[in-house]
Amino acid sequence: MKKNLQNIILIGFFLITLYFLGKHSLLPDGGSVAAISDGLAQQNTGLYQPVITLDLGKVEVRDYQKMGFTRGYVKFSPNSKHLAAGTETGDLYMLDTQGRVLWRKNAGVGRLSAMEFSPDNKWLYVGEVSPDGNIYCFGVEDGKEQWRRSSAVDIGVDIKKKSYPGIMRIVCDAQGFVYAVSQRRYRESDGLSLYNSKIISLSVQGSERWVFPRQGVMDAWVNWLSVDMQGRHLVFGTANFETRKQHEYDNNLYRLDGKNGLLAWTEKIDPVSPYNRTIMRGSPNLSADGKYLAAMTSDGRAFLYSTEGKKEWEYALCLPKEINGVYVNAVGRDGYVIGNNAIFATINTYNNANWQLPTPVEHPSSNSVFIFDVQGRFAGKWQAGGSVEELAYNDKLIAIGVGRNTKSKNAAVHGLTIISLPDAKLIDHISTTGPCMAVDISKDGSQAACIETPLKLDNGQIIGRYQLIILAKRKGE
Amino acid sequence: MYGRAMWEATTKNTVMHRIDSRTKLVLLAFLSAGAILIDSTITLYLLFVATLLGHLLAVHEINRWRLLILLIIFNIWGTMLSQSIFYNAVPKTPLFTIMPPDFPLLGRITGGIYIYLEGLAYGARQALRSSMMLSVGLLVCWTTNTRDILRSFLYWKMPYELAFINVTSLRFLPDIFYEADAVMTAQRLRGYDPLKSISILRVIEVGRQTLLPVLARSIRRAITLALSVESRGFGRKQSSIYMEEWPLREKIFVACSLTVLLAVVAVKIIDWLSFNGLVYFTWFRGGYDMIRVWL
Amino acid sequence: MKTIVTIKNMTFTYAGRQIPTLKDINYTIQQGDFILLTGTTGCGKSTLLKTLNGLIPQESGGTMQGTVYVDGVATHQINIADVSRLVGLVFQNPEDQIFSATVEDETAFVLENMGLPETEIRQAVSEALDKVGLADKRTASIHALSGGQKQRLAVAAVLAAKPEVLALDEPISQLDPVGAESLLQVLTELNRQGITIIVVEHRLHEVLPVCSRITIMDEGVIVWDGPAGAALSEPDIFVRHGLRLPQPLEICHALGIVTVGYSAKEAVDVIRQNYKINPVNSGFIYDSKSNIGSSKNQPSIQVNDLVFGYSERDVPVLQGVDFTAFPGEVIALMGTNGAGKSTLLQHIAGLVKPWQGNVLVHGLAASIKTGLTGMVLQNSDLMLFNTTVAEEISFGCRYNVQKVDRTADASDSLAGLLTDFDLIQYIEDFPLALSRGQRLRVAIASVLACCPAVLLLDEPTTGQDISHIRDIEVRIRHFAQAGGTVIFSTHDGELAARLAERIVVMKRGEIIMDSHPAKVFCRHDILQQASLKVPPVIEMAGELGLGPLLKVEEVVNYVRQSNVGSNNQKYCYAPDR
Repeated sequence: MKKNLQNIILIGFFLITLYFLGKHSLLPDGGSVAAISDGLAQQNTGLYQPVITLDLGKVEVRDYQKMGFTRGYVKFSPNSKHLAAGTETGDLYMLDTQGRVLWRKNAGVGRLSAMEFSPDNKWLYVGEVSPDGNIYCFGVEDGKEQWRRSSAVDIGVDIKKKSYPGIMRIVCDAQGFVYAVSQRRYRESDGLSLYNSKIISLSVQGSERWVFPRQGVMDAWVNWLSVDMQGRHLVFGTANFETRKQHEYDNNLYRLDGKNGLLAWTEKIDPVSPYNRTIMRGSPNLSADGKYLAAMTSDGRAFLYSTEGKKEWEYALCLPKEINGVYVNAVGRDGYVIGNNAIFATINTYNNANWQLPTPVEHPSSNSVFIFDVQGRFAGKWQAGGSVEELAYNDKLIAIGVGRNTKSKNAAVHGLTIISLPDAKLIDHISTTGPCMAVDISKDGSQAACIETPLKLDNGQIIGRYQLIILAKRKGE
Repeated sequence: MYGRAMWEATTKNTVMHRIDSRTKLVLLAFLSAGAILIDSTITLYLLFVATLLGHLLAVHEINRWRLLILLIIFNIWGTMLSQSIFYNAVPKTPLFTIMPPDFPLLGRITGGIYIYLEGLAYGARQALRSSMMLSVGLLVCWTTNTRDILRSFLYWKMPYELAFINVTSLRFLPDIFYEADAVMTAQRLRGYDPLKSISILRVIEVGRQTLLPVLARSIRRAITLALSVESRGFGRKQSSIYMEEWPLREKIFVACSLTVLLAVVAVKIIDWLSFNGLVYFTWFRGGYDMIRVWL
Repeated sequence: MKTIVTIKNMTFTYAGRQIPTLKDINYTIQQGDFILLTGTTGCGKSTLLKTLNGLIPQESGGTMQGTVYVDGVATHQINIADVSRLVGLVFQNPEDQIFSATVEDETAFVLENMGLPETEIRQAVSEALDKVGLADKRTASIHALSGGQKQRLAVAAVLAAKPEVLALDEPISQLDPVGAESLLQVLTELNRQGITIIVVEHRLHEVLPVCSRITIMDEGVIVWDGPAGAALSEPDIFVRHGLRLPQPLEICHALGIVTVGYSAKEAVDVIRQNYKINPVNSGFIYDSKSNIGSSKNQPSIQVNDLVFGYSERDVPVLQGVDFTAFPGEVIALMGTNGAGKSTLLQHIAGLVKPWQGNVLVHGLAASIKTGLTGMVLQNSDLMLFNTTVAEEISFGCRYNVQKVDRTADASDSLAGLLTDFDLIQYIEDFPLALSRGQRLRVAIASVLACCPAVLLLDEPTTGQDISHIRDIEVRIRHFAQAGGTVIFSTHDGELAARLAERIVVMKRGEIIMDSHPAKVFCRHDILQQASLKVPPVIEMAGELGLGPLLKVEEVVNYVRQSNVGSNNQKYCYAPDR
């Protein structure tokens, strides 16, 4: 009897071991959808309710030490019937509004870097960093690959140095033309860290319409671009981190003709002390009608230009301040023009000399969203408490993904905040345990989505999960 | 401790027993190569489960299953736990805290002891590798006659001495286990429990003490076995090796397996070349993606 | 008669040795001989055997002078595979030489190596298995065979090649009496069919009755060679060379008379012809149990309703064993292999936990931790794991810190033990490099160094020659006289009768009899059940009407005593033993 029992226990334990090993090895990591009962996330007004979560699998858990953090991508289709989500580990999910996973893919040796729906809701364009640096076009319904285009042919690849091309951003105009920026970093033998970049425009079928520059590459860092609805104008910003070398593409703002990719105008924004260069990370962005463009430099200046290149106004929203002999600054990042408003966002406070060094205080303008009208009148400000990781908007609402606060390290600030436009009033805040790194809100505001990521606290504890959370607006509101 | 018969081949008429010893040895070699080459947890797991299916086909008695399961469980959990605690690569994500860093003395010295998630995953992969080897090794051992293994080696023109060493080690492995156990019993009987010491020096000493009589006995036994088979006309001077015809079906199977193995080696080389920045073939992108998941 | 083997002026020296192991051997073997090649350990008999099929010098690496001819061909000129068709060699331990998983495969191995067609192989395998009585085991796994069957398989494995000579190196030394008898029957039958047999063996009292010729070796030289019958008239030769005589021969030799055969009956007839015997009418002169186990002593071992098995699927190995032993007792455990003797010893040693019941040693639950029990394992070589004899013997003292009240004499110091066990000159030697008898002595001494109250020995005399056996007997008696309890398992009825005060007979996990040896050996039903043989001395004492005398000396003394003052002066001579 005793022996039999031992055998049964042994076999049971073995089968459990096998099961867990199998679960760990065979089943794709993540992808399990769970409906939320209620009150999973702490709510502020309760207007938006989390309805579905999607486990995005295991991911490296990062802490407060590094500036960069776990990435995630989430995007509603223009008709809000689909939601695409991408992970740092290369998984790509397509969900319907009920939270069902329609299809799933993995980027293999590639790393996801950009995602955009076509305006007709049929295609999803996905950019990757890989030896090919592909831009893919997948069918929204079936996930079938329609075409792919490598950017390695545009900006090269150096396998030996692991210098791979990547698609940094993809946007579409109303006709469905695709615009993407590809970029590749490489290191010279003398230690110079340099970039090659190129703007690519493709047709819906994936054929090349034009590239900029037509010959060669831009010797500059470009990670952002924007196009107006009509596809008439395209803007992007450049930055050169390596100041030891003279760069051909040394200006900061460029506007191209969206039809043929020819340069319309360019503008150099002089650096502001104590900086020696001007960088734009989440801008410039054109207004839908193509009239204005908003630009936010990382030194904290917000600009509004007319499409013709005329600077309408400029504000210093969070200029570096010298406190106790240390320059502290809140890094400026996003700049958008939404309807009649210009929106700018800042992230955490850093020591200007080196972002890893401590700062005595938090910059008063850090982690904030500023709203102006196009005339430059201040309309509102929202302090998010944590880094504004991503902004998404529709006509009336702005969704803010609130991530780490590297200064206060207050984990309670994490979550998805929805504020009103233009008065920056809180509509709702849905807390997430870990930092909220990606957000989107549907055109009608009935749904929102965000990606929560895990975070390792200084005491070694891990909070949060890598998951997609879909929220629905309370009916009748 | 399990008796020595536990480690030896059974004489049943199952599929696994009927398969030609050459086929089994080739598969053992292929799987060994696979265990080294393959990094994908999925594939390792599938191969491991396949070896277990082999055991199912061999219809072992409960005691052998017990032994197999015990060895595998110890191997899997031992590897996973040790890897998860001593995992030294980055990133590493603590899953549980065994000892917090602020624990008096030890916590401060060690900087805290954690079970790391990545270590657990890494350990699982290593455990699958070794469990697969263990499982397939035992499968061959339990279903293949020792003399057939020796003949197979000689069929492949392995030097006689080498083949004999291989086979005697296999043949005497059960006895070595059995006798090592007897030596430890003798030590316990004289008031010393060899397994209840944590001192490394003691462990080395016990190892030496245990191996000494076992080795002495093994050498004597190996000599006897060598003399015995030589006096039965089997030796280096033998002109031909008696072996039954290698079934064509199995030959084809082995050829296919070899092709698969060579293909795996080839794509792993291609992947290695790309990983180390030597060559990247754009046309092979699907292959690179496939390797990431399956190999 | 055809001469099948001729050895001419053969001297052989192993590589790395100065002194030759075989010295100038000249020897012939005739077809149909059944030779017992004997001598003390290390006399060179096994080496001589290996020269017969060319293993020496072809595989030995030593140097050989002279020539060995088998069927007219010099063995160093043809390869071993070819000689093996003429001379089949079987080794001591069947476990070490069996190479395949089934009986059939093992038997066919030699034939396959000869490249015979399958039909011929089948035929030859059947014949060989028939001859050794394993025809019904043809497809069996070798694990399913008993020790005796395995050795018969080893014989079949060489017999299949139809050799003219079958050479066996101590083939019965590891077997129980049943196994040994069955193998000897097979050999006798094979010899009758014309196969020449040459057996190297210590247990000559078992082989002598079946062989036709005896060759005695000593220090590499053949010192005596003659027909088996001659041994009857010249038993002194055996005594001189430290060989074990069959008991009837030993008694007759002591009484100064010559017997005509090896059986007890033949010896009794000769004794009757020469001596006047007064039968004893008083029946048993022994108590039902030993004298020591009286009520005034506390028992040293109590085994109560012990049940144990290795697997629940099988019948338990021990099935409700009850057993008590007292200080000063020497108890023999007897029974066939698998009767549960070793398992019982392991329980007393505290190595295994009972399923049911309990085992108490001096009132404490049996456990290794008490240090009360010392055990000598069956393969005592596995107990030698230190680099010098001194270290080996003192090993237990270092770890045995719990000194519980010992009834045995605990004053035996290391030096005392070394002297007692005659090991003082080997103190710095590597234990495993000593002779077989010395190794056993070291193993026992190392156990006794821990001052146990109970000494357990698992088949201590297996494979030992008579001088070593006598040697061990003396040590065991000393230990018991000092108040220790000794329990040993054995297949050797003569040893048990000589040494033990009690014999516990086991069968299939149960004690079927527990009594004085004299009583046990009178119960033919019990002996039959446990496959035990009556020692000839008891048989003879019975035949002579002397009652259950257990020792050769007792019978000899009794016979002599009966004739004191008789006219048989010339027969009263008996050399001092």
